[in-house]
Amino acid sequence: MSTNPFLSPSRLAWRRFKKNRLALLSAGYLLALLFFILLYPLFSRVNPNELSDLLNSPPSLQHLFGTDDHGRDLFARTLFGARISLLVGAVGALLSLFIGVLWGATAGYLGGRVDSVMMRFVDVLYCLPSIVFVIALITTLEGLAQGYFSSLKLLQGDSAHLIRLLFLFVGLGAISWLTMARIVRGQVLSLRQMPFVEAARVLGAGPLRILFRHIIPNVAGVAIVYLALTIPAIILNESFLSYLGIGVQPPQASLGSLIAGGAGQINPLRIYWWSILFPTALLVTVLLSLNFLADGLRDALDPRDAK
Amino acid sequence: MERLTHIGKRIFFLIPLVLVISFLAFSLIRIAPGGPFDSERKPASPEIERNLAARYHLDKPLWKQYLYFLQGITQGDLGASLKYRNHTVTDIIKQGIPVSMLLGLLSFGLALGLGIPLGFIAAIRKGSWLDYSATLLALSAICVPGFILAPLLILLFSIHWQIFPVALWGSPLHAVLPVVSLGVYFAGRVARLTREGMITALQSDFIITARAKGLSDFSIYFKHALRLGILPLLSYSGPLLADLLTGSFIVENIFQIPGIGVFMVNSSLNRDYTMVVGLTLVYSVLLLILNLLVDILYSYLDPRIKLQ
Repeated sequence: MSTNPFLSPSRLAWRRFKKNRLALLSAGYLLALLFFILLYPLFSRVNPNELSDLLNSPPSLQHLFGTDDHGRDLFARTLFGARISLLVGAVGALLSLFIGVLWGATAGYLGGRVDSVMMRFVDVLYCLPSIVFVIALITTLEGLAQGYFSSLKLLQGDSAHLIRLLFLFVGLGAISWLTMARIVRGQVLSLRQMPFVEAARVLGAGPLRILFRHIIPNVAGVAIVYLALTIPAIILNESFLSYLGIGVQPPQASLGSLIAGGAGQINPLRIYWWSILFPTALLVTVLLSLNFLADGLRDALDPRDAK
Repeated sequence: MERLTHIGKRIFFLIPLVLVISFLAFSLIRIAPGGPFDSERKPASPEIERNLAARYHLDKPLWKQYLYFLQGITQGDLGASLKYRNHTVTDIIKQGIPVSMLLGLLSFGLALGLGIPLGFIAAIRKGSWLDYSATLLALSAICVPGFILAPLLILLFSIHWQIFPVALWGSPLHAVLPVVSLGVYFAGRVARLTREGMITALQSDFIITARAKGLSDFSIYFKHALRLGILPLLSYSGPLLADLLTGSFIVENIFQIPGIGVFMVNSSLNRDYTMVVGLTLVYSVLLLILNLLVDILYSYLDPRIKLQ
């Protein structure tokens, strides 16, 4: 690649990203899917939660992906579930980004005793089995919320789903920020020795200004790459929680709970393949393209490989 | 000698860490509202509930419960399971852990055996179609959840072709499908890490020197690059092994294998306090020991890194 010295770093990164066709294709697929998922409710009258008498019917023109054991349209439910899965993944990952960057940058920048206390805390959390941690967290929060809201008669219908979703965000975000904090701290440790930080300090910038204006923007590349890897990890974790029955609450669905529901219908006599195949295909392609995207972002943004 | 004292020091520092972790696990699960006896046959009279609580020290303040627990540990006693009241936690773990460990070790072997060659080939042929197909294969392995892979394998190999048994644990044939369902995901992770490590290693200056000296490809790849290239994999293998050895809920649940992975999830769902704390302790101690071993191995493989 001919390196034009007059291009800004972000232009250079975009150039490198464009070269990775797989990543570009994945980004396109995800964008198209996102548009379709968001626009679908506008031009379709199918209610993903509406029951009908057509139980477990195979794919047809009327029901493109068939129907499930309650006669609900699986096409609508799959899109609906994808929306929830992506939402949980995105919000959980953003939460982990927020906590991780703040925690890691503070520890790395302050250094010394504060650093070792903060990082020992991360070490301790690392040693807890994450599945136990997330179950305890979600059930605790939910129990507290139930105690709190039952007096207000708020925990009914839609608000119950919303609250469960909120706890999923918090729980999954809470187990995902540890690695982010470690990575960011490592970066900050080397960045704070850099001449430009010293220059800022000489010019009279306070620690907060140095941290937020000079150091954190330099961590952004690495953080974005790790963020892109966190989203599929969280989606996968959510699908596992749904499989356990503590994910999103029915009749709401995520891709994971749809697959779990379909797999629960398997019996030796009949397999309603459509109830497993379509949500699985969507989940796997979404996870694959998110991973490809992360790969492309890393090649584009990680200065180590930028040769 | 210096190294030995250093290792001794590290082991000594594990003790406070284990105490903190056990206390965290102990309080975390207890803060959650609701108790272990909530789903018992109702209505239990208040006296019965009080007796039950007293029997398991649940009526005492948290720090006192923790002291009881520590006292028990010094005698190898993790308490009785609150769910399976005829069994002690130690018994259940002792029964389950050999099974989970065997399953985990076999899966670890599979993950390394599939993953390292795959990542290695991808790295030394970087940018070729071999690299792309290996990467695609590794990523697909990461993206298929275990609760899809396992039923799929059963459907194909047990029901359709009837090669392997559907479930249970006993003969070597029983182990094949569970080991594959558990190991394939980690093989994908291993392949990705090996590829990255190898690519970084192949870019180092000493490889350029080795090439300039005219060493063969074989000796460059296997004698010089591989030693550094597996370092990222090495640091991952601590948590990886800890995860594998303590069992997998999905695989043990689907194949009806009597390991401890099922207990790990069910006890936190049932709020079986003693069980959760016992299993967490097993997991954490295992992880800490494995990480220590990894650090020691690391300093042997990469002499530039000092154990600290």
